Amino acid sequence: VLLAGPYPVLSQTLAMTRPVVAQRTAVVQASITLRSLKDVLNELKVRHKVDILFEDRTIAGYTLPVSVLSERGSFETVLSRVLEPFSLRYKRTKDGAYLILAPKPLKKTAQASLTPQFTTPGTLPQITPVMAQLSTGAPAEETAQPQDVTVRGRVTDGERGEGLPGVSITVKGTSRGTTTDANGNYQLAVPTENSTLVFSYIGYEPQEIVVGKQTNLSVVLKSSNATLNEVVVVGYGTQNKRDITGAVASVSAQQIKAVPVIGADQALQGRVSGVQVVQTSGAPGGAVQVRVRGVNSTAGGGANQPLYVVDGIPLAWNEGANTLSVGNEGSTGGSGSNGASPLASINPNDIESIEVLKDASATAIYGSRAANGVVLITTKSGKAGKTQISVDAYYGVQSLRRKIPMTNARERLSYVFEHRRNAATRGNEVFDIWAVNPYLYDYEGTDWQSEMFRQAAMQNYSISATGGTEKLQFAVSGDYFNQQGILLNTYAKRYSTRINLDVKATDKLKFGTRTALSLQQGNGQDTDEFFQSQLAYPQSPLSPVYDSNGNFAGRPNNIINSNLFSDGGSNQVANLMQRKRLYERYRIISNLYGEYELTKGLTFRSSFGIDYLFNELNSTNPVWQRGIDVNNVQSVFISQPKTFNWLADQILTFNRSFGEHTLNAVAGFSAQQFTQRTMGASAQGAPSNVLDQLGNQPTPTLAFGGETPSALVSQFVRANYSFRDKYLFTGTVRRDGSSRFGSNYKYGIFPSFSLGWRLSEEPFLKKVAAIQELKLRASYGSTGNQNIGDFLYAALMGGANTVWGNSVATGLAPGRFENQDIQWERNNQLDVGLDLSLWSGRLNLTVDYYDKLTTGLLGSAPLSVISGVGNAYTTNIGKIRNRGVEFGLNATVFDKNGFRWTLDGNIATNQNRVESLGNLPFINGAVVWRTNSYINRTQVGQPIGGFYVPVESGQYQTWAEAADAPTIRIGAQPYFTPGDFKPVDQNGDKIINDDDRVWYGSPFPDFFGGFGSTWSYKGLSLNVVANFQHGNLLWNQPRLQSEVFEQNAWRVSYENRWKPWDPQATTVPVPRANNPLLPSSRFLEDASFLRIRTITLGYDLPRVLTDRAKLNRARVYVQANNFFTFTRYTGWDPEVNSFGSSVTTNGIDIGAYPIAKSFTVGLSLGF
Amino acid sequence: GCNEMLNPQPVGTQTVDNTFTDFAGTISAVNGIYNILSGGNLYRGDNNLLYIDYASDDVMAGDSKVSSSAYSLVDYFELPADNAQTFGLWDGLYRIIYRSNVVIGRVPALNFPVAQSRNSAGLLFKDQFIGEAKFLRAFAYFNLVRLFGDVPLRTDEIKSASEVNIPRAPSAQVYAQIIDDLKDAATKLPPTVSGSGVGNERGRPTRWAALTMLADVYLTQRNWAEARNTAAQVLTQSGLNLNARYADSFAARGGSENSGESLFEVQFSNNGQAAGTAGLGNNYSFIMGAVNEVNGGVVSLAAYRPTDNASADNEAGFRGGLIQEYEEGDLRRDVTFVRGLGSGGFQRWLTIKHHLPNTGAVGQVNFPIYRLAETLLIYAEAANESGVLDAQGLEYLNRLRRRAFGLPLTTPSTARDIASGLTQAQYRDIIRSERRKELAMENKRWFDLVRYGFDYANTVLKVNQKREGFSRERMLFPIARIETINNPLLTQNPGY
Repeated sequence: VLLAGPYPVLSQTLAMTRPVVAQRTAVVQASITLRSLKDVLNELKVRHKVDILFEDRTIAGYTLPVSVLSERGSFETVLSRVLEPFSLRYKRTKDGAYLILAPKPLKKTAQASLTPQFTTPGTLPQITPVMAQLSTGAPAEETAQPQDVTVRGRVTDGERGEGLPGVSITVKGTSRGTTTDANGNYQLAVPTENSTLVFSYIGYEPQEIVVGKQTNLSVVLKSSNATLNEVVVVGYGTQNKRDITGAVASVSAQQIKAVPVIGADQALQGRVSGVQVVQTSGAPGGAVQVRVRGVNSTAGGGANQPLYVVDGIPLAWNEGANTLSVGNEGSTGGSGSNGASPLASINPNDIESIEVLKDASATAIYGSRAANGVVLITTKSGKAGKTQISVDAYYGVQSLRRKIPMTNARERLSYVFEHRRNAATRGNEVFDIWAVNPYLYDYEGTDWQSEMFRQAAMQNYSISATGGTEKLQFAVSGDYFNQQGILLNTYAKRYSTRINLDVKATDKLKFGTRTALSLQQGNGQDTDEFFQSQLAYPQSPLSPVYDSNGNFAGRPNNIINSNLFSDGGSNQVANLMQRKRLYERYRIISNLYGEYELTKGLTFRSSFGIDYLFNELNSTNPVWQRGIDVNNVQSVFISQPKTFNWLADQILTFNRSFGEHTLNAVAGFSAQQFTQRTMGASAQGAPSNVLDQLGNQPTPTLAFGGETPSALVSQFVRANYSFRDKYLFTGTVRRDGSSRFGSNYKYGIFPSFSLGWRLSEEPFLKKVAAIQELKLRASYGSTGNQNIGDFLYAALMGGANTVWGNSVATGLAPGRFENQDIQWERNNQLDVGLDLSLWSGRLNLTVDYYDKLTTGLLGSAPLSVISGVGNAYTTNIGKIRNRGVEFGLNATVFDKNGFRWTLDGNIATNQNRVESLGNLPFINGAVVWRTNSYINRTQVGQPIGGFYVPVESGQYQTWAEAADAPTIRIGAQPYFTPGDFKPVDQNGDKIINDDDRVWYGSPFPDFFGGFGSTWSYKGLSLNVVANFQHGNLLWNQPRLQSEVFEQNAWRVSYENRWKPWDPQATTVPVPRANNPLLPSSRFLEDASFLRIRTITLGYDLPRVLTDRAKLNRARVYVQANNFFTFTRYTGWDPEVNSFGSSVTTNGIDIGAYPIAKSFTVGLSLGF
Repeated sequence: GCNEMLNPQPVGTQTVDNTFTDFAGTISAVNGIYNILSGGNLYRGDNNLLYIDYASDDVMAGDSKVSSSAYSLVDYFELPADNAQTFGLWDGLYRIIYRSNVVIGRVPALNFPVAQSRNSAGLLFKDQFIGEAKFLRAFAYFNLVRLFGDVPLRTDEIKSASEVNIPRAPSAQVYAQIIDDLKDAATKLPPTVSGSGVGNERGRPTRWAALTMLADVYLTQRNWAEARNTAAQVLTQSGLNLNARYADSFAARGGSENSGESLFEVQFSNNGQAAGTAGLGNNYSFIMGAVNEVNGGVVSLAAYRPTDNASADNEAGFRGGLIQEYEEGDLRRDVTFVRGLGSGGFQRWLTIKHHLPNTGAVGQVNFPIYRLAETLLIYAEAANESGVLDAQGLEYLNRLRRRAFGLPLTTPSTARDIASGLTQAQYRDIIRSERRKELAMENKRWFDLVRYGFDYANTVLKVNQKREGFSRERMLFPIARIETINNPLLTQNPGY
């Protein structure tokens, strides 16, 4: 009666169940053996190696035919069949255990969801008799004994105060136990008052409590920091952290999400010891430089970037394809583009974890690409169970972190005369300007920083759903990211979707996919060089942004000396608004896999993946007219580099224990092919800015295109062996064949081995309660670098056209010799490490010492030009050594009464030293504009790109002194006058040349790291993330430009300059206007900094509210980013590397796009 | 399979081995040698080979002595060993040698299909290609040996970086190789190129170009008999004639490229070149000045200027300016130079022989290396030095003079002809003067001065033109310092 009507689902289940069971009993009636449900569940538990948690009372009294155990099907199928007859349900908990739940209550009141109701089989009298009849037996004597005490209570999470579902509660020493329900409530009958209850839950510290007289026992579980039990993704598989013998650092999804950034690489900043992440430009979507344990190669481009592997697909890193660099448009002698982050195309919300593999033991599995470390990115997969929907959103406002005070219009004008007087050029005529130029009545003039920078919004909306059944699990997501740049008209946007599916076709066969599509759009990100010029030369405050008609102003035509107004550039606000540098970047990263269990412990996995990157850059310079400045030729440039990269992996995994021996082995074969294509064209001349398409331009000026193929074919083996869980050994070998090398060295073999000793398992330490884990590790091995460009081994013919009459004829000429001996850069690394975990994981410490020697440095060796192919050739030269110590720590400082304080931090040193450069005496860095000289030099005994400059001491005070100044052979200034700084003539030969340079410091920090801290109480939490570096120098080119006084100067330069009318002021910080420009130590500044990257105040809404809103969880937070930076550096930002793609030119700030500060509010909901 | 994956063929580019498999590849590689002349820096613009003209008494730098511009350093013999100019020259010339060696070494083994086997003169293309490569190799060594003295001598293809460094070979050995190459080239090169079809383009060297260079080599070696015989061979057998007018040889001055008189020219073109891009056009407007004749306006005071006794830029007592060498009425002066107004208000002579007035940065006018006029002069000089100028030589000389004054070439002119019966010394002076005027600004004069000997050079440079830095040692240029570092087997010339 009751079954009909409002509960169709239940009735249907029963209707179906009955005949099936009836049929079966009919067939096997003669030999029916009954067993208790508890026995059956225990049997299934053992058979399927799963945890099944139940409350004795829930299942007490049920029996069923044993034949059910011989039925075929997956575990969940069998379990469903077993439970169905009793209306019992199961739930798969987060950690994979199965929780047996009582039948759904038939009546549900509003109160029911808040106050749990416990139902026993007895509450369904209408059903029980039927079942009992079917099972033809009486309930077994499993019910609670008379003296039993029923204890009930709630288990909650210590940090967030939420109820924890699925916590296992057992009576110590018995098999009696239960699990908590969805709200964390439990009820358990215990035999005596002396019984001890053990509460355990994965990810939390277990607790034991003696029942005593309590009948209501609520427990707060503390999340355990026992990270050693975590499973860590390693190359081509996973490993228990406990068993790892290499240096591997994990960054969690939570840490990645803690910072509002476009790419996860920025989120790594300060998180991993020994990994230095520098955002080389603050442009939205701008380049991020990641260095794992120092730089190993003098080659530029991607030669020092780690290998990024996303869900098993090593991403193609190609400088060209990522930067879209189009030569020197707008160049000021700077670096060219720094490129884009390779991870900007991946939604950080999709990421489950990032593992950074640092030592040879961990990285050797990636062989020839692993010399700079490996960053493994694993995206979220679905889990069977209720579909979880998450919505994450944040909105922030960014602004210029710091404005540098500049001189105003009146001051500018006054020192123009001073500058001219000092330079001995006349300039009296400009006084007339006051009479004719209305702009100048405004003494302040234009504040270009305020005009060029703005408050800009940043927003991100991300939605994801995960869930599935035992057969099919899914994780799908969509994301929209939009960051407007603080510099006018710059932005970066990303649209991305992801589908991750896992299908369990049979017990043995699994297949699935990890597929993501993304589109990035932006303006200006690739125009660093363009922006650098704007920032390095703030325009004259004398120039207005708009003219009286509201149009963009240019140099006025009513004055004699119009150059005074431009300061060398046209209206930069107009340039930013009118010129376009649009890019689009489509990326598909997709991997399809199949996995089959051949026999127990032996799995074969085959996967095929692609990474397709299509870029388009569209650069348009329209026709414009500003004052007397005119651009009357519209030009359009389009470039479309494409990279297609496919990968096929075949992997066998073996995982077995034999007594005290455990062996885990991986063997595989991998093939990957990269094809890069490029195509582009430019044209100019359309009369109207409306006709701004390439096809509108009547005059084509350039067309280009080409293709570069490359490939890797590899085999690899890794074996992890452990004896008694105490002595660990890992050996890895990868053999890579690369198309980049000639026949003699086509294949490279990269072995590594490592040992681990878990001292904490030894009897003498086992007694020490405080020590949970102590492991010593040592590894040695070899990895390679093949990031050198294609076909370097081959003698290629280059274009060498000639002319007959006036017609061009095709010509070819050999550009280099064949070099079959060119080979991999090889990196041999020793790592010794220690993992320590104390007080049940409350304090975890990891210490590593490493020593890396890179040999066979791929570089350009000098060659006599009688070769006929030029003065250099690429070959293996030199050695570089990186040594360092890394500390990583995390601790739960305080955890009581709901208040919790956690702390994590890391600090690392790295000493970089060039050990050899072959026959090359040194490598000079790029010439830095305005000094006409290099600043960095790479030489044996020094770090790569060490600063090598003349130094200055004091000032010339008199003409006589200045007349006696040494001759300058660096730079171009022919003479000195009073007010100029004296260069130190180191060898006293009256000539300042390269011999007078000294080693002045390093562009690399002595130490660097980061820390984070979280304070939480109930739902409220405060989180701080910071990073720091110390001891590196930075070349401050903007200050140099300011102190020359040719363009508008910093106020601090202006006020502290040497003044011609006050020659008695003997020592001032800034030389006279028009001082000689020497590349001197004067402009090298300490760039040490400590930056509080984010301060987040978050609030998790209490259960009462979320339940009412039908939410699983809800969190709101406010965040302040980059608000506090402590540094002595006087430029816009100490975290800059204008020549980011180079290492031999390093630590130079020529005025990059500054990093913004921002204030963000965010919301995170779970359904 | 994997092997294919790991051994991809480069796309859009060829290996050396793949290139030398067919006619098209081979001719591309042959063309690639010429690329150094038009696309490289030897003749394109302000650098390298034209630099050395500043050392002569014909060309002066556009700036003053105190300036440390490379022009000035060469002009005043202050060029240090650590310089980019001789490095560039050395680099370009050895690139020609390397590329030629590759062709000379690989072509003999090739066999082209019948349709592509013979050139328009009916000779094997294979031989022509080897001939061209040997001609160019000889050209490179001839310049090297005259500029630097002993130089590394290599005639086979370098296969690896480790084979590069070799010491300098005695100049006699270098000359022997040059002569061998030119003799062989003369037998392999066609007497004419038809101008139609690939490989037969006008502008490729002929037998007569090779022989004229050979005569020049003999002249430099003071082998008067061979110089005279070789020049005579060209003059009597080639069937080539002088152009009717002096200007006919210079496209910038109304003539045509690869004219009847032309034996070998550096071919320039600005076809398909965006303005300002490095390509195959010359860059002469930069050093010679973008003269705006129409407006008679202000010109940039270019560097590559003739010496002029009346110029305000001279040292006190300056004599022997090129402008003063011309007699009144000699048309060659105004074909070669123009008087322009500099920005300072001074009138100056500027070179316009090689670039079209009012053209932009990229010019397409060729630069002459050998013209028949020079063959005549070689004959005359060799004949005179063998004893005294013969009638044939005198007639050759007079033809050049008649043309210079706009007279018919073969009609004797009492006004302009040089008399017969003068002494050897008198003829020597006349021949040298005629040569200076006829070949002005054609990259000849410095080599002539060196050939005439230290005493002569010292007189015109140090005594007449106050180039105090000149000395016997300065008759050779320094080997760029970086080269002596990168190739420790190299020794530096004395005095640097």
